[in-house]
Amino acid sequence: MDNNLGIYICSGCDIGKNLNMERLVNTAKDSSKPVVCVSHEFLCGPEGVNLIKNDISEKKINKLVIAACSMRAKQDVFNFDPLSIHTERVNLREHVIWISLPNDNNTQLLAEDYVNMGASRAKKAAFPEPLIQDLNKTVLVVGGGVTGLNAAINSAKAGYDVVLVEKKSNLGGFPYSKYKKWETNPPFDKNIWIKEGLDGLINTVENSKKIKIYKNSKIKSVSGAPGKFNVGIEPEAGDSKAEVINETIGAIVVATGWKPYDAKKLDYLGYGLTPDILTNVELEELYSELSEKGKTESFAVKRKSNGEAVKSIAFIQCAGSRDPDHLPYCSTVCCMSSLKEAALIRKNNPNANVYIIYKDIRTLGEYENFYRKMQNDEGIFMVKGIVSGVSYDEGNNIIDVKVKDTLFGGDMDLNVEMVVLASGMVPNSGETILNQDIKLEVNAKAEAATAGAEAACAAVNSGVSAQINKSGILNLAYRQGKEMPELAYGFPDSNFICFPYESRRTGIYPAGSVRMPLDTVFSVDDAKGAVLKAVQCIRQTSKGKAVHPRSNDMTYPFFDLPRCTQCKRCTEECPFGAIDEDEKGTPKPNPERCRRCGVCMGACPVRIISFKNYSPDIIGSMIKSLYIPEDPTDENYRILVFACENDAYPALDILGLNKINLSSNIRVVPVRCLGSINNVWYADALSKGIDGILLLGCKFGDDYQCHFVKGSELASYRMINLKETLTRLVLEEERVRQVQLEYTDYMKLPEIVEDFVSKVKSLGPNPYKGF
Amino acid sequence: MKNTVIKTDNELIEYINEVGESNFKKCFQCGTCSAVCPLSTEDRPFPRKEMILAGWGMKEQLVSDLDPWLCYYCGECSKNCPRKAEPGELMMSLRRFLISAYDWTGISKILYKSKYAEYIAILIVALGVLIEWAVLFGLHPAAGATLEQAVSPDKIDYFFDWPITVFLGVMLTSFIYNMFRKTVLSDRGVKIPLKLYFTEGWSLMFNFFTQYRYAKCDDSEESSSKKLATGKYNFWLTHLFLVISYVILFVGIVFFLDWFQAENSLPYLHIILFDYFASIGLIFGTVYFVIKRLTKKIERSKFSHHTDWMFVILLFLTGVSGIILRAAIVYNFPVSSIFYIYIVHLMILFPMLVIEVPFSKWSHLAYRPVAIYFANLKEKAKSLNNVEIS
Repeated sequence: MDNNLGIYICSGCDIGKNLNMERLVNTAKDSSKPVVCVSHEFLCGPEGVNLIKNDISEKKINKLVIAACSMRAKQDVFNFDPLSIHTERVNLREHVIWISLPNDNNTQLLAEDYVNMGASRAKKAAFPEPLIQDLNKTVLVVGGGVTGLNAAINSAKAGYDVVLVEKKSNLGGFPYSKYKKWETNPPFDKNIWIKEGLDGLINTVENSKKIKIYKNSKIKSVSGAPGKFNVGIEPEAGDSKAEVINETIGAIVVATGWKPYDAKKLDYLGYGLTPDILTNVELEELYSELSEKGKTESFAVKRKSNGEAVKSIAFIQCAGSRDPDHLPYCSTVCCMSSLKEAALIRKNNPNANVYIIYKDIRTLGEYENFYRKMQNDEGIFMVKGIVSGVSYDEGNNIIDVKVKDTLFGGDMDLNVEMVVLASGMVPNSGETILNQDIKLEVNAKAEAATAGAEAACAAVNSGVSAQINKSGILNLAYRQGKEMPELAYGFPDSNFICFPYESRRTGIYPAGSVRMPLDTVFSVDDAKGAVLKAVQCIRQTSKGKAVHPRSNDMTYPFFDLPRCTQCKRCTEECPFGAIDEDEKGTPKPNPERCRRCGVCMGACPVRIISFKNYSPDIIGSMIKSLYIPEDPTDENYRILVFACENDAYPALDILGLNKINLSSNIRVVPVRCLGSINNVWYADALSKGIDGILLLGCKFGDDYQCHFVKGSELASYRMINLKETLTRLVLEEERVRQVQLEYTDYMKLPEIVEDFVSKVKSLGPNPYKGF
Repeated sequence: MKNTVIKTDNELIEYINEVGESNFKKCFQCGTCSAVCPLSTEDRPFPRKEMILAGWGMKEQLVSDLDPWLCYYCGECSKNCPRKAEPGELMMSLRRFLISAYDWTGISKILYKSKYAEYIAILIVALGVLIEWAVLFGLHPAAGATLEQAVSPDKIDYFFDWPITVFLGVMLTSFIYNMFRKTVLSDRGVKIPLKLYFTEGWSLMFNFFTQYRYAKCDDSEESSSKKLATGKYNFWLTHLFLVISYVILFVGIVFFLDWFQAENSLPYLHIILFDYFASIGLIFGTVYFVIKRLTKKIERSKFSHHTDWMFVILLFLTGVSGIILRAAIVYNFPVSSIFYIYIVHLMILFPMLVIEVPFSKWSHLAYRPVAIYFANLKEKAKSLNNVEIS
């Protein structure tokens, strides 16, 4: 491959006024020996772009270094074919002149270093060779409920074949056998038949030529990767002739819905005392039974204990929900469903009084209309309060509900004939069965975690191990477990604010109430969202491009397997379970499952993992290209900053935009993720004479913001390891620091940097400087 | 209200709905109403408390509640209610409910529920008056008789004024006792020392004659003179003027009927007090309220129940017919004319006294000051108890 380097330095946006352009060009020429090195006063203008284009065609320039503004700006202008031209952006505007003193020697040195780093990266970078394949484009929809049906229809409408797998004998899911639901269109103030609408939906799905339906079936196994998933579909056991059917699938939408919270755990609210204390789901079933039996709408709800029509009924909201001992979250539908049931009771048992005891009534958006309507019914009584006890008076066949902290200004007792516990939704994301082996493994890892640095990494992964045992829905044949890892409370999302539907398994998208508690109205939209993701995945993968979040990235990790030591770190640490392994522990990468974060590259102790334009060697040579003055004065301290491209780098840009000065001791190297930092870079930097290394990356922990889920967390664990090495080398461990930063925290940057720089200065210069 | 077994009374909810236009079921208990109310206190968080009690139809708590009487319907709550639940109007409805609750005869309830019942009741009383008059004085004055001869003031006293005084006295006393029983005696939490009944007696008189709480309905931090100048006291002062005029006339008619039928020894006092002060008060007051109710510009006049209209109209007609009667006497109209004007006047006055005073809107004249008196008693007794405990 020819390396025809062209360096183009823009002097616009005041860059030329703040830097000595002549010196900058000459330094770049001296150190990088480019074919072309020019400065231009308006590089992003047509004249500047034409200059570059001419050089590309005439001088065969294939490695561009554009030293101008941030890589986040002017992407549309500096847009050259990535397969034949490497474009390296050097940020002289936001990261140099906007944050440094004008026409100062230190500012000049900063700019020169950045141009040199850009040039060395461009020289080493290879062109991506995308993995273009003819892949399967079928969407597998798991679950034939409201979400699943809508996902199937939407995929078919978008022109994709669909395989729909439903475990029951009929489509329609949870609501299908039920009686009524609240209106699905504004003004949302009445109840409608559930089957109305749902029947039409089922018909459309069943008559669609693009949709293949497997009823009474389960997923036996899923192996492979997006575009080439191999899915084993197993018809219901009992039918001995049934064989596992294999389907090749492009992407998967998981719409397995929810199951009701285990009512046995609600004994503190009287469940089990009398058959007249039931859950909201049981009341729904009672309704469907009554309406089915008489094929009529005129029936009265009767007490199970004595068969008499109910005259008073209490709904206890948040039964086992928003409670740290039960379900800590709100299931969003119970308020509406209790109001709906209250309306039905009032219609069918007109003389009955309905009491609703709530912590908060949550009827979102226009659902408020329904709440208001129910509120005005003189037989419906709502009060805020906390149920402190439910007891049953057998003699009078009356249930006593004790409520404390009511809005009446005290405690009260309600005597009713029936109690409905409005309990919440549990995602149907697989069953966890902790067998002995796994328990031991988890315990051992937890113990080891307390012991030392090496084991700390393992502790991060113990969460994964605990999930190895989850199974029953997708039964993935992945090294990291059979089901999608959960974000919290069993919901298999990865970060539902930043990237909804993205599970931590590429090409597998949860939708509907398995993703978060949703009602049917919201599930319809959720299905569309997940289908869009699935379609995106199918199309991007077949073009050899990454899906979210590094959309369109055509590189993927290369494993130089002959040098692999089978340490299994990459297979354990990959946040997306992309890497399987053979019996010996040799990684078996699946590039289609990969999100290109580089966590594996950062994990590899023997540095056999690399991307075409991002590798230990490329970043290492960038570091080595830095000019480190030996004179130990204050301005000659050199701090290397590894900044996450997603949050920290833009934060630095915003700081520049606000023209707030930052120490010119720092040299910023953007990284895909802090998790991709290989420990060799620390060695490269410290042996080069860098005095301190600062990692700016995303927040980690329960409310993590890392785009790759665990990257910044892994970086911090690996640093424990690193610090031991530093101590062995008689280097202070304070020379390396990681700071968690949000995009919006840019105003904190001057303090963060200043604090670290002064800490390093207090330690003195790197003793290895000049070696 | 510790661990009461809640009994919701759906009929009560229906009744409260019928006698007013509050949307109390819409309340979601945010408490804005009590926060903006100039009169509500921490211990008496009305009207928020009443909103939920009414919404749940909690009769026991509502019957024993004095707070509706402590509200003067400034309307701040209704203006600020985020749900347009009209808490101010609920307090009005509850006053109507309480009037019917104190009334053991059950007549109030019928009158409040149906406007036709009220029309019929008024017609019956008017007819009764006509019959009684016919029996006493005939339907035509004897030719050549003086007024004294045609309509004997003694007979009016014996057969009209004193019976009605006794009737009203008995009725109102028994109703107020009923109120006392329900609001004070039923409250086992407070024991009121006998002495307090006398020492707190001043508040009864003070509030009756000043209606001072009306003035407190506006809690803006302006000086009283500014409030007076900007008309913020207009409603209170007009109401006070009307009440005092009414009391003067009532006392005058019942005890000094002679003065109205003939000139007597104190003509100037009579002219100033009755001919000017009380007559102007009655006419001005009733016209003022009718205009307010028609224009609906202020919160407290936004909604008008049929009993509100009946009361103010009867009062106005009583005033007008009374003034015409008085003028006829003073300017020596023919006795036959005075005779007929007299009948008409009594046929308006008596329905108002018999129907409106004990069973309808008029009774607030009695209940309001009494309620403030009872509330004061309970509060004082409570603070005394607390002192003893601590």
